[in-house]
Amino acid sequence: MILTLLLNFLVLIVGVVFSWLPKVTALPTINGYDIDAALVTGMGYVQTFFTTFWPLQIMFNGFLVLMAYYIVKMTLRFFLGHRSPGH
Amino acid sequence: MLKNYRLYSLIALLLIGGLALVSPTRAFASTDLGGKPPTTDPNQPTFDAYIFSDDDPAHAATQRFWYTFKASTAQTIADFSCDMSTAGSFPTYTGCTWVSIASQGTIGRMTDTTNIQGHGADKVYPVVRDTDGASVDGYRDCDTSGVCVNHDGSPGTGAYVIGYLYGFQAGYMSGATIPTGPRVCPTPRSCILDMTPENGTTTSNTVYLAAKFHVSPDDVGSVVKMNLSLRNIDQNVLLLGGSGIAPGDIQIYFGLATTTGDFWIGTTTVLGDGNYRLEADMTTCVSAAGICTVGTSWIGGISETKSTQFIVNQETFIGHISQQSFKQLNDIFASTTATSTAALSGSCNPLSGMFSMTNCGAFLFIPDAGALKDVMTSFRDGFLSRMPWGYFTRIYAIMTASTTQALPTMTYEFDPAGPYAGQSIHFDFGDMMTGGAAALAAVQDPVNHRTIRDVLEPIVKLLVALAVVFGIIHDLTGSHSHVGENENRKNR
Repeated sequence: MILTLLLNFLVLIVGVVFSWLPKVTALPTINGYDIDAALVTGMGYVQTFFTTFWPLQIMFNGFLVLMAYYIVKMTLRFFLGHRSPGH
Repeated sequence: MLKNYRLYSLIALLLIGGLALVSPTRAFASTDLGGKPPTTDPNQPTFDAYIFSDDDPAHAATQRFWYTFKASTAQTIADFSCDMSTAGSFPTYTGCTWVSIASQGTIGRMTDTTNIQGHGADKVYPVVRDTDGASVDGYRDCDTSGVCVNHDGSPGTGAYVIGYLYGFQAGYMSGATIPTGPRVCPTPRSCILDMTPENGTTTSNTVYLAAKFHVSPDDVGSVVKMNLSLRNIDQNVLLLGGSGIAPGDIQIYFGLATTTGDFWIGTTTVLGDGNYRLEADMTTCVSAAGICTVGTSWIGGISETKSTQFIVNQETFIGHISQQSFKQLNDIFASTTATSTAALSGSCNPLSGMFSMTNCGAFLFIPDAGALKDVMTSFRDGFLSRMPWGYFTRIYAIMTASTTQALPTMTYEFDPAGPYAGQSIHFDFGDMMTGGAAALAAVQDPVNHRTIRDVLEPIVKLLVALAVVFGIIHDLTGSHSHVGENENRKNR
């Protein structure tokens, strides 16, 4: 409970500090093209494709793990700068 | 950054592909059915479907939700139920499949085992129970001016509302079974049976707030206090003084029940956006008549509290934290044998008979997986979803979604002036893929009868996992050159 409350407190502080930034709920629409809808639609087609060609689904999941790794790395670099691992 | 060109290339490819497919100049790729009849299965009858929580003791089942259908060709009602999960009073249903639910103006509202909550409704119909013998049990249809008619055509008066129906256009369901057993309290004593909105749901600004109190025959003769209150728990109130209601509890109902039965207490009200908690409590007093009055101590009998947290339109960050913290405490209470805050704190009190170093240590220091998940959810909502890195989070969310989209069909019509005038070629990529999948599944090992996928999938998974792990290791160890090597190069 103590650890949870501490983590909650830290997350609360971070959230309050950055609360002035706009929240992203969808990707922008540029020149009439709804990029969010396009990506959602495109991924829907890809997921349908994956239901038959399952090896690609596994490879895509592996790619997503790598992508998550890069996002975590970018986040750490944002907070830690040159002290981040792998910098 | 440049070395992540593969990642950016794939995102760009998906973007370009998606743009091409939703572009107005590629109309064949669109699945817009606006203005056309909704898709239905020709082998299934079509109904106007109504969904509601049945409150009738003769019909209701424990932890079940019922689906009532009114056939579009006759004003008759038949009850069906899906096989419900017993977790929560608004569970995800399984065992019956909404093949196609199409409400007016939209398509594909619900498919498969989607929770019915949060999908909106074309129209809400009050469910009524007869009180004067002149009306009927069933649902009531009200027009915009408030004039209501019961489903059998009788005037919509003389009955009280026990729930609400949610009407959709042209839906049908298969796999229906008839449920058994009444919805009951876990013990013979009085209890709070149900609350609306359900926990964790998101509602529109017009909210129906209700609780169902059951006063048991065992408690007849005692006085039962029923209380229902609402609290706004979002940051608008806490920090800014807000768009919603004022801090503190808003008492919706406070009353005393002296007779047995089920009591639905509720009201419909308009709330501002944010996070809310609805709390119901009931206490019975077994003291002598005259002692148990409002404002005095309520001793003995039962004391039960139930709460539900919900979001009106858009939650706020602090509201989310408040909801999750409250949920965590409730989870901790539920995971111990303690039934109250005092009993829980007793496990950390050496002077209490319930003292346990192990329980106390676990309670204080070990966050469970659910709590950590909630923290990560809060972090995502409060930080990761903010600009500019929120765009990466959004892209990641889209790419990890498992929602499938039917592949587009394409039809080419020949030149009306040519030799093939009036004829066309139709490409259905979905059919092609379905046929391909069937062909792959048909190839089986003659001895063990295992398909290609059964045999190869573990190997592919292993190879991909190894590739990912080696990729991360390579990035971590090879992303900077060794100092010694640089110095050697300089010295050469």
